[in-house]
Amino acid sequence: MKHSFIDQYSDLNSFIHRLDPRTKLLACPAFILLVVLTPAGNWKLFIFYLCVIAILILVSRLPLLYVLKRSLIIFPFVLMVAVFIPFFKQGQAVWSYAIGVWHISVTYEGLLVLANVLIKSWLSMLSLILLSSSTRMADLLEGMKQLGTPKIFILIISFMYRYLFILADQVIRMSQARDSRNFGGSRSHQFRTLGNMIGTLFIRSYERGERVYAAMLARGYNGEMPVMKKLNFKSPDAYFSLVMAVLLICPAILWWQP
Amino acid sequence: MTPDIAIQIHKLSYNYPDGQRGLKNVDLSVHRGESVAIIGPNGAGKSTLLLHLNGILRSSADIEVCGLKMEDRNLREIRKKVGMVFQDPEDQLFSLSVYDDVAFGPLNMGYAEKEVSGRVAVALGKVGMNGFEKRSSHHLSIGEKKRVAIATVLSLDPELLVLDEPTGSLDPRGKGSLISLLEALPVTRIIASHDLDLVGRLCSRTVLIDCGSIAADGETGAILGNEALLAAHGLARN
Repeated sequence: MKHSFIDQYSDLNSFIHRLDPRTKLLACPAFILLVVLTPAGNWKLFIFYLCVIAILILVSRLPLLYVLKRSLIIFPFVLMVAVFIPFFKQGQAVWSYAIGVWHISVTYEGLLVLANVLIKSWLSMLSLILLSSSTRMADLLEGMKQLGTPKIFILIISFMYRYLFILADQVIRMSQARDSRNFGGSRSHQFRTLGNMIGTLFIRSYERGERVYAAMLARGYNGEMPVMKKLNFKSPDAYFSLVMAVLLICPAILWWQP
Repeated sequence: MTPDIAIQIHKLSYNYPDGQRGLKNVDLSVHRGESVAIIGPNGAGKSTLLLHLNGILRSSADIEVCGLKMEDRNLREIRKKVGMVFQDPEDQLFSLSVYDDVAFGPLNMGYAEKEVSGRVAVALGKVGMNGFEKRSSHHLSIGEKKRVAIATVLSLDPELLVLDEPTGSLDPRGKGSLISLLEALPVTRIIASHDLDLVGRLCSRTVLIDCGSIAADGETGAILGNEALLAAHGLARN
């Protein structure tokens, strides 16, 4: 079974794809930091940031619909946290309603905070999607390693990425086998089956871990992951960094008004 | 010990941590250049025996590999000399790209980068997988995975090639091409399998294991021709 649902479009060839992963790894958090720090209600700046990220996405040739769909993932989480803010924030009421002794009111300030949270998280999400879909996982990890991420984290992420697919395959095969035997019956029976499946999956993964470790030992693994340098900055990286820096810093200075 | 002996095992017994019997009093010696098949039914102890050949599993028995005693200080050298290909290539290919997997062994041995990439190219060439360096092993076919798995040990230039079920889950064509590939590799081979076709074509000597001990050891033709013996150990073809 084949799937690559994490870095599906990372094999495309575009200016953004060809950049050194380190450039992207630095530009993405810089963008997010600036977006998060922007004072609430500064719509001019937010629109500008949206234009920047939109242009980058267009340049990267990622399918727009795919990016939009992915970016929507963030909203349920943000809404769950932020949806009550308009009701609790003190300020000028936009709308109010009385249920018995309770007065429910939505304030203008509260709505502003909510909109602010939504737009900031959406912009951040867009930039993360751009990063993860324009960089192959192997390159991303190599970049992280060279930017000083502890090796053990790199190791854990790379194993996770490598075996996630196999785990997913196993889940699919197990559910197919289950469904082929006319899975059904009472709710409690179904839950018990599900529990057994999760347990089996855990044991299989654990044993696979042991076998992988044996295979590593057999090739001389001694607790230290060998390093190889394969990345190098090229001139497009310098241009990109410069343009991004100017694009992000100048408007921020011009339009920054708390 | 004579220099042309690759493996010398004396009275090897092993019980699994849960108490189950793994191996019992196994004696085995293999000469350099020999191609030995280890056959036996499922659960006979074939894989367990193989895992002793490079010290993944240890016991108190005397084991010598390529003139080196199985001791902690020799482990590194032994693992360099013994190229072990595991049954499931998914276990062997744990890196994000084919290149990284094949380079893993040489890098662990501390070779310089240039030497490493040279070794990777040669190893992939031997198994006919040049040009796959950047591919992720998850997206290879099972036959390709098996080849890459073999390349991951060939990159260490092993003196001894140990293969566990090399043709398991391969289609006939994949099996055929893997057998010719293995025939062309000039190293001492130990192959655990219950694929008697493969054994007949690749190995001059066959060791039959059942219930953790050696039931027969001799020329492949004689053992594969002995239907009664094969039937007694669950290996008869019909």
